[in-house]
Amino acid sequence: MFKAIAKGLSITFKHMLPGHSTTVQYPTVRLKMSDRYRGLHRLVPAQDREKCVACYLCPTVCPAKCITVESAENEKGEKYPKVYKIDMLRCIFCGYCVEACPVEALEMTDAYELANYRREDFEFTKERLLK
Amino acid sequence: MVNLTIDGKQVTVSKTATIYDAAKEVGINIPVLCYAKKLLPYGACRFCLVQVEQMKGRLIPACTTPVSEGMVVTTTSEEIQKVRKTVMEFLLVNHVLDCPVCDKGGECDLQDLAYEFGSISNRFEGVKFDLPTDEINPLIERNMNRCVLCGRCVRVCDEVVGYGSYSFINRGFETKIATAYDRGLNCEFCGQCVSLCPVGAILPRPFKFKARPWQIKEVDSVCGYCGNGCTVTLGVLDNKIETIRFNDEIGVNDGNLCIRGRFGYAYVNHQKRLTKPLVRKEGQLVEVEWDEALQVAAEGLSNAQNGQGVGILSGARLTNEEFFLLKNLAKTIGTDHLDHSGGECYKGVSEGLNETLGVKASTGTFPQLESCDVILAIRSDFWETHPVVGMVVNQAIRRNDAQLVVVADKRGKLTKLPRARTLLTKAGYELSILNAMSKVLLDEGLAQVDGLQNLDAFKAALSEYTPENVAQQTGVDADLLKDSARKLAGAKKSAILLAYGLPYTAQSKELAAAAANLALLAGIPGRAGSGLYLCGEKANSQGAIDLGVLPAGNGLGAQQMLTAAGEGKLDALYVIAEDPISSYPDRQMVEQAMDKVGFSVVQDLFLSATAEKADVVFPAASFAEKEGTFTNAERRIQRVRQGIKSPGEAKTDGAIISALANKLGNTLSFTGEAAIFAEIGKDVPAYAEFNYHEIGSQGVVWGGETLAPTRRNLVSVSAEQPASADYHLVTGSALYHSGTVSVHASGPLAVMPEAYVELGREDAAALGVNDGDLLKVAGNGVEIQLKAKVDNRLPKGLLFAPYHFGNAGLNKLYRGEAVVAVSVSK
Amino acid sequence: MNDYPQVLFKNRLPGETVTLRSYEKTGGYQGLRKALKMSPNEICELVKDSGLRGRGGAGFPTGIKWSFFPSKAPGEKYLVCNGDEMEPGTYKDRQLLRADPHQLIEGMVIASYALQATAGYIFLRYAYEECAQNVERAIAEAKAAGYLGENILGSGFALSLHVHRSAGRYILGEETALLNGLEGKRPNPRAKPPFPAQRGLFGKPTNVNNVETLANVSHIINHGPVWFQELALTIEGSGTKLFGLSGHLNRTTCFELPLGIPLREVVETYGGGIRQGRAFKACLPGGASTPYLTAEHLDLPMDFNPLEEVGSRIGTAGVTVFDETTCMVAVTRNLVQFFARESCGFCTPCRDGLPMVSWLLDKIEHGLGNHDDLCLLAKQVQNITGRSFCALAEGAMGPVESLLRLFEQELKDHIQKGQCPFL
Repeated sequence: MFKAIAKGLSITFKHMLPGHSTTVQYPTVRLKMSDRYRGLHRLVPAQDREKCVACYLCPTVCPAKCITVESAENEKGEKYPKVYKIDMLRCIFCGYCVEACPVEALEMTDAYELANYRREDFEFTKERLLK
Repeated sequence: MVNLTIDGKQVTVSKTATIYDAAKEVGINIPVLCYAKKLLPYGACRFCLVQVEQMKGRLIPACTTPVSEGMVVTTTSEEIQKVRKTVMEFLLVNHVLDCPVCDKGGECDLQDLAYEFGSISNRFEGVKFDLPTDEINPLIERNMNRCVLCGRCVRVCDEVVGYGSYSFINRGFETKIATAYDRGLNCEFCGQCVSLCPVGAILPRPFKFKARPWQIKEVDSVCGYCGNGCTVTLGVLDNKIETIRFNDEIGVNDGNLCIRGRFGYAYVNHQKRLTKPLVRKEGQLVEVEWDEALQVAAEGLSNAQNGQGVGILSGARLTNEEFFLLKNLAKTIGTDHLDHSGGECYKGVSEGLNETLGVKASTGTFPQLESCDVILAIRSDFWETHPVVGMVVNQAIRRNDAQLVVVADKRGKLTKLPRARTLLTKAGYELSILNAMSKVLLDEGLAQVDGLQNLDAFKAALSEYTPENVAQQTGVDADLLKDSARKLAGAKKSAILLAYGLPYTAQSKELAAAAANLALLAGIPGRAGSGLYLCGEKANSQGAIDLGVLPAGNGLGAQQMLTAAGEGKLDALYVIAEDPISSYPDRQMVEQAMDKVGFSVVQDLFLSATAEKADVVFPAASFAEKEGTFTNAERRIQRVRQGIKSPGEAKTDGAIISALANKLGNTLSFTGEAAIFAEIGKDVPAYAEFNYHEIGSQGVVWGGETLAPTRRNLVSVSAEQPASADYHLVTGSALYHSGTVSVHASGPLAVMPEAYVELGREDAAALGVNDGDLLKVAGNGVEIQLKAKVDNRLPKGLLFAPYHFGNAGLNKLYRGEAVVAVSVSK
Repeated sequence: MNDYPQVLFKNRLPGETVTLRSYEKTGGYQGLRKALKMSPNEICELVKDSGLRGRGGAGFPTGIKWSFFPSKAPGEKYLVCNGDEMEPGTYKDRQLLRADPHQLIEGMVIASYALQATAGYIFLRYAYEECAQNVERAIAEAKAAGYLGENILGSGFALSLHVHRSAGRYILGEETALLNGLEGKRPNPRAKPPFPAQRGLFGKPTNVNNVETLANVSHIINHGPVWFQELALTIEGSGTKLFGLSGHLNRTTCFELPLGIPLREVVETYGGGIRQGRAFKACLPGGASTPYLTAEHLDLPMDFNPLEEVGSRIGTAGVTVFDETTCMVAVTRNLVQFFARESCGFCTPCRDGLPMVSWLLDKIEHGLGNHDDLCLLAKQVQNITGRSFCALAEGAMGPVESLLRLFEQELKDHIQKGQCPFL
């Protein structure tokens, strides 16, 4: 019986030793998120423009209706998103938009620190999303 | 009727139906790509192949094969599915898969079929084409890389529109659809090809990249331009009309539209729309609040009524309900001086037809026209004023071998139709030809004279109009004239077409009476399937006549009102949805009226030339911003539905008129359009049988499909001698525009941006004029400058100028005569 | 050297065209005189009894085709002669029109009388300028002699004939495409029904027949149906046929031979055997759209039914012979390329399907194919045959289908060797 207690306590004490803690000292230490973590969106850039072709599939599929797209024609006659906005206050991070994208122009990064002080700052414009 | 079995279901259909039609009847949907309801069977895409028990061994195209008794059809089997998959694979070999940027994505037939039959991988390394897109014109964009060669654009342009701008070129795999010499598209831009293209190969350019089909809200309304009354389905996004959607399920037009209906919606969104009421203060029009403007208007009008009176002049683009309110307002004010759109031009209906037939409307309906054997069109402009009726005429000719006779002073689209016979007369002599045709019928004993009043007097009055005399006078071949009259009398079903409108004011009543006389002698009025069509140029011209927006008792008509105002005998003018300075004959007279009249109120969408001279200007709503009913030129009452909100503080004409009436002490108010419509029924018996809410997608026709005349009275009319000179100017409508509203719409403007004067090659050569040169045209003591347009439509000595562009000042020259004698110089 | 009775070629002399006078000397226009004394219906019955079948390729019985024609309908009716001979390996009509254009004109007048047609059009291939001039000259002669025009030979029957030079495309051989071409439209085939007999040229009833078919008519009238039937060597066949020989033969000319003549006789006696003494490998019996025949078929009588029984067709009887050194895959590829190029682009299987078959054969011929491609090829043949709008694609699949059926080993050799075994 004593042996069993000692065995159990040894595990407990082991965790007290440095380097054996499961708690991360956030914000000084940050976890590496899983590859499939669904964090902040990112618009993928192509050579001289965004990859997005403004097909409207992401706002269509979005269950929270948080994506706003306005398409237009650029100088080359290509379709591009004149406006691309995601309202992060509404976003539920379901990732449907990424799945719907036919040109892989949208991805979800591992950024999870999305707190802000002002409501306006939750609106992610095209420029912010392209970063 | 034929009985057959489709997928085990018993069907009975007419013997002219195809297997596809029969299947549709029982709700079995056979996939198709090249099939289109209104086009002739084609059978090129091979999607619709089905098995027929009696024709074992090969698969049968459902869309081209007529049904036969006892047929046993299987529409889906393993083999059929396999074939459809292969066809899909074949089509995708060279189809660019750019759905994300293709505006058709979401409503593309190929996309839908690919979902059903497509396989993910393609077993052939296809060759994708990289053809340049045709973006030369501002309205229709063609990307032939996306084309599936169904030929619907080629066919609709030929079979329905009668223009034929497309054809297939090259052979085999390289086959593509192109215009003549593979240049950029340059046609009349009706957009029918856009409507019918099942893929994204032909798209409306103004709508490019604007929205996805599923985001668009569709509102079925009636086109606000001409009296054709086509159903337009407004594509609304964020309170803005972004496009006109194709809809061939409802409406009298079968999905057909002209450039005005298809691309002319843009004026509704125009930046220069009036958004606030204006009142003249210290000589300037300044924006004020509604209440103030109404107060000023009410005071001005009631003061004037206490003085020498108020004249009310309305356009014909108000709804029936608004006309009703307007009549009420006239009663409240206490004036009899009430008239609509031009005054003289519609007298053909209100007086000409009334005196001969006892009715004030066309006697047939447009769908009947398609089965007529002989169609007599008076003036070649009919296609220009009512393009979609022109398309019906085209189909009558192509499908049912109808004979078209055109009595006209110039050639046009109608005269180019197959087997069209043109009686090309000197300008202004149409009436003489109609009289001569009547005489032929009487002399040859072909006329149906039973029950006709005034026959003897009529015969006597026609004595001068022998075909030979008239032939000599007009330049028409006498034998052709006689033969045309005989054809008209001999037809089982026949139709006479005549359009009226502001540019056609001369002898309006007489011409209509002559047409009615001829119709009576040919037995047209009241005969099922036949009809005499007098078609108004504006959306609700017929409604205005039905509702009686006409001078009552001793009231003055439009022209008299303006003359009286100009002479200082009228103290106020209230002009609604009309720009008389730009569009009415005799601009000097209208300008003088607006200058001299003590007080004037104008109610319009834009600050028109007339509005600029007004004391009070009310911002009104367009057809897309109101509810109500229009009555089209064939007596069809159709619902107008609101698609968007008015810009700024603009209000509907009805709301403005009601508010003004309230200010003037009329406390009558209605709970909505339905209530007003019910009220209309009390005044206009023909409308009483309908309930506003029961007006369906096809509208309702008052008086029935064939309106029976209440009298058969021959009225002798004689032709005026048109002025004689080296050059004659006639005015009229151009295909691309309607009235003066379309000059604010970017679509029509893109094709016809400015006024012009058209002349034949012979004259152009004699004058040394090239296309685009500035020409001085002088007549009636006025000289104006217009750009020359040279083509081979006009005979020698005749000039044509459309009346839509107020800034060109054509109506300074044109004073309502049939032909203006002019001199022309470079 | 030809032991068989000559009917169509009886006036044929090398390098010469028969004039009206010499044509009349050998009994020319006697058939017309005889026919004009008969009723139109009797002529139709006579042609039906003769068993004459269309010589343009499909072999539809001419008398039956005529009996469908609404000859009693009022208004204009047309007879169109299809001389758009563009089938690879076929040149019989050219020979006929070069030698004896009056035969065609007499046939057309009789046919027009039988059908009560009011005008006739002779639609000629663009390359046949010489024939067109011959026919035009013959029309002028016939007109002058009263065989054409108003009141022909005092019978009251009137007919005008017109020569139309085609813009020249293979698809124009399809009768409805020909009608479109004649109207000045793009020669796409038309949907049937309505058949040309109901709504053909300019929307009027129209009958379309091949040059050789019409040329036979006067002889049938002259000599009667029994004589005509007995011309053939088979019991069910009737008449003679113009065989245009081409390919790897020692003699490649056009012969008039009775229907039912064995293929061996055609090849060996008239074709003079295979060039350089090689062995016979295969032949196209009737133009490029007919399935191949091989050595095992050499004793087959060349007539409609016997060839159909072995899965081929007599077509136009333009026999193209291939010797043992020929790669049949290459031959087929060449043919399919022709058909793919000549497709009018109207229907999907033909427009997009034929290039695919052509690519597949290309791949196999260059040794890049695999066994999947063989299956795919077989599937595509099924997917195209009977699925297209007109018979062009179906005809194009004839050689491919027979290639798969008769030369499977050769196809496999291409795949196994990774290159063409005949290189």
